[in-house]
Amino acid sequence: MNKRDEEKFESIPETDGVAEVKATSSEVGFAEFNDEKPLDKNVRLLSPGRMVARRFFRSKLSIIGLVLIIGLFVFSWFGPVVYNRWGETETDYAATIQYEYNEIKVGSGDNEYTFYQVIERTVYLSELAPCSPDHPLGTDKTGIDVLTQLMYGGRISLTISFLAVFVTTILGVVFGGIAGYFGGKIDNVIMRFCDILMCLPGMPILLIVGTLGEGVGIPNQFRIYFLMGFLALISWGGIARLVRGQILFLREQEYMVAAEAMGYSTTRKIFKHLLPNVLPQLIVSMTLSLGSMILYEATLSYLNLGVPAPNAAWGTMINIISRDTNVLQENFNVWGPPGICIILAVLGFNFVGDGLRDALDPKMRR
Amino acid sequence: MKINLKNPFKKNKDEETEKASPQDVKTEENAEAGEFGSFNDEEEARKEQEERDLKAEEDLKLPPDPEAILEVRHLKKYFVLGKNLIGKPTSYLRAVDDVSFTLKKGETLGIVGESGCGKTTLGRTILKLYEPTAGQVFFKQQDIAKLKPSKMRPLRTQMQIIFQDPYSSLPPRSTVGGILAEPVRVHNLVPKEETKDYVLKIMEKCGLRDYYYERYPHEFSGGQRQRICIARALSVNPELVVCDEPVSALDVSIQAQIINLLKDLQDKMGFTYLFISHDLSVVKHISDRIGVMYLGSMVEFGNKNDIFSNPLHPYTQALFSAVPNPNPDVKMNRIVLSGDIPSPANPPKGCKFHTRCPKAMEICSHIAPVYKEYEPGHFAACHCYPQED
Repeated sequence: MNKRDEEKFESIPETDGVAEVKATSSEVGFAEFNDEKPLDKNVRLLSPGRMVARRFFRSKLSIIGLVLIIGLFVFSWFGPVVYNRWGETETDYAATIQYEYNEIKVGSGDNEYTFYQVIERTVYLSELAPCSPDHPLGTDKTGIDVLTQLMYGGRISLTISFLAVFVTTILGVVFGGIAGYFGGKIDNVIMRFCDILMCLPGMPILLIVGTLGEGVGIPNQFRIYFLMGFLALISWGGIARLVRGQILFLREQEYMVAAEAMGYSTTRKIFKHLLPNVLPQLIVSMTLSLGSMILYEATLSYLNLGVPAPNAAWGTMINIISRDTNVLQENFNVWGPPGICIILAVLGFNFVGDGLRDALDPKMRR
Repeated sequence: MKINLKNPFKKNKDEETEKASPQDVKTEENAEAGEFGSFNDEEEARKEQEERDLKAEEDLKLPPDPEAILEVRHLKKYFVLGKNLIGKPTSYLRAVDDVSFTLKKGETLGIVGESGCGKTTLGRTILKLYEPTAGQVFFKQQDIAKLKPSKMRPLRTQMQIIFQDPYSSLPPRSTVGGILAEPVRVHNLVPKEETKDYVLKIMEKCGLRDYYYERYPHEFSGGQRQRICIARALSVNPELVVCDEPVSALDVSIQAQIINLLKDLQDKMGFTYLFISHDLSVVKHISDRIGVMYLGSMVEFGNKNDIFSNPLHPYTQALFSAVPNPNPDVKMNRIVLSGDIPSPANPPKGCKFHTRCPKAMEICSHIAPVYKEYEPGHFAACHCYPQED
């Protein structure tokens, strides 16, 4: 029995219970199976889904990606439950003592003296505090705990990118599916429209739309959702092409002809036979575009089109360095962690996407 | 010999015409076609074609044969190759070009022919998996060629197809049980609770073990997959099954098993098969009648024994001469055809076979021969035989 056959069975204890088909029959017909024993109860059969899972977990990189993503989700959603010392937008009004120096120069020439006047002030706002037990990652300029903000910001960033990918995928599947299944003129119209969409430069248009949105009167806290929604509206072209290509390919497969010969309805053919077979490619492209959506969110936030203060997403938290260069130099604890989170999320999604692509490729039988 | 310096090719042309003239005389004698000797062939051919079309139209008005389960009349399937700016088709691929035959219940019709001759297209057009361009298909005396898809759906259970490639004809993401139970559920063939028992019974008939029910197609070998395909076709209890080269993708020992399974099922359940194959020995084994196709047209049709003992058409003769004989003492008289099969997008004028025919005459390149009955139930289309009634 070769390797490929072994892969299809998963033997829990070491038994020789793997079914062996002995094709020693001289008689034609049912005799072929006379020597075959029924499968041992310990032998589990692998469904295509389980085979994919096995191939996925065989790659270290995809496990790392999965751990990263799960870690970030747990961090964002369960983090605030555990670390609930500070509220989402709670400013720390703890009294902090600040010292200021004043240089006073007296005299001239060789007799010049410099006095240092030390002013001790008690400020009731803990701004730009360093890391401490109270604030593991310090505070930002408005006295909000960075760690808390990072968790709530993760919620916003991840939700936004998931929503955007979801909308993109639904639009892509619907339009790509219609184009691929019905073909002809409909296909032509949809695909040319796709071509136009793919010519549009995303970022400049988003900037314009952001400004327009302000003029139309979209409240600031919904702006980023509006922008990401618009981004989804103009970026379904790639997924539509993918789905169309796949459906064009599947439509000519003999099992689709068999479905036609069986007299199945069009809805049944599309939803039961075509879409499940497009799903693998779809999942891969969704995972890969999640990373890019997070980047888009970060960029938009950096350009002041993000979630308004005091709420924050990861991108908005980095935004602070564009206004205050001192923070860039001295307070890594404020802008570093959100940056690292963005990198980890994008890396994680890309690792998982790559792993899924390899695992779902039916030609990979190892 | 004088050579024309201005036009060196002229001499050759003269020679050609000289050579051609005695042949013409010969043709006249052989084919009793004196009136065709010196005609304006284009016009003559067109006239002939118009007459044929008229006759075909009259044929189409006849009532269907009450004895036949399947009657095909002047069936044509053209695929559009090119369109002009307005979207009007400019060129066609004539995959099936004017095919007629009848098939009685419980019989097996074998369709043979080389690759690309339209066998598969014929099978699929009969099942309306392709929309016929022209002609009629009577299934149980009902013309299905023009039926709408919604009206066609209930009829689908009565006619099924088995494909050549058992690897691409099973959906990869459902279990064997799911594949077999789906048509039963969709067409409400048995009450819901009995579906599984029903499917298991069919699996048993096709030589599939009951525990295969939960397995996926990728776990099976080609022969077992073909059994699953057969079981799927049987699950709706059809009367006509189109077998589209069902054994070509299998190795020889498995071929025999599948063929015998098909025969077995036919004996038990009384199916009518349209068996498409390019393997003559397989066709000889399973068929009652045989149709020989060349370039989209039926060139010969008849009972198996008639066709094998007395092939009329030169193409059939050449085809059968190529069947290998296991006896080394028998000397084989192979008729080797020269040239390639012409493109069905641009078929030769007149008889489609004349470019490769060892018995070609002049008339063959001008006028297509009539598809006529020469012995009872034995049709052929060739100028070697009398064309007039």
